Amino acid sequence: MSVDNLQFTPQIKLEFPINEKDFFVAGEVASKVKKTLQQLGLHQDTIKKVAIIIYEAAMNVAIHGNHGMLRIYIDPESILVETDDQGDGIPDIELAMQEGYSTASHEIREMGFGAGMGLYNIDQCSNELHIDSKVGIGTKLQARVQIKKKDQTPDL
Amino acid sequence: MKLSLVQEILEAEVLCENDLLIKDVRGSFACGLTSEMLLYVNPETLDITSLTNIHVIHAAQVMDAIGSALFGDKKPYKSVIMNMDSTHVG
Repeated sequence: MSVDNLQFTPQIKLEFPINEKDFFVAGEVASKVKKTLQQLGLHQDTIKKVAIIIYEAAMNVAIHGNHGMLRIYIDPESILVETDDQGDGIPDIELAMQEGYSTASHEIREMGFGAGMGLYNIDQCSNELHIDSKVGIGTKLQARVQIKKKDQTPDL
Repeated sequence: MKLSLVQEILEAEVLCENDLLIKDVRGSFACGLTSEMLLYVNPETLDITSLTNIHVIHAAQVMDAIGSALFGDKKPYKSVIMNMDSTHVG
């Protein structure tokens, strides 16, 4: 799966560093962005999808990424969540996308993470997902969520 | 059903008491994985889990779960209980 950088003109950009094993950052960032999106008056379905993507993507960086950045771009039509890390990379993205596939350690699994649902959840919540990974160099993930109008019914 | 009634039925110890005990619970979801919680827990849902770490509470709060029912012998650390703020019952 290759990344063609998404054509995107951001109106709001949020940026958060993620350090290795910083398992707190996912919840903190997801909560902060959720509040921002609520203040913008977005549909709760859109907010839920973005919060899940942020949580899972940030957790992936904390678990596998050594160090990375999480960026969120908000425009009137869609929200783009992007992570960029300097981790070990993903040798087989198709395999990593499969529900239940995980390379997380026992320690990580004991905390309730590393179930192999992270990328699957991100895919389920995205309208568009691109992952570019190079073994030994790092991984870039871009997940876009279309902003749902307030009168549309939830689909998640 | 009121959250306080659920607490009575379960004979649960309330670790973080606040005014949410008088709120209605619309449903519950039992899970042992954070990813499951993110996908299936909805607002006003009671999250039922055997995990007791702070990350479970954070994930439940992100999803607007009304509270978390923590099962099993493990007791959460004080720091976990302190993080259950006014938006969450444990």
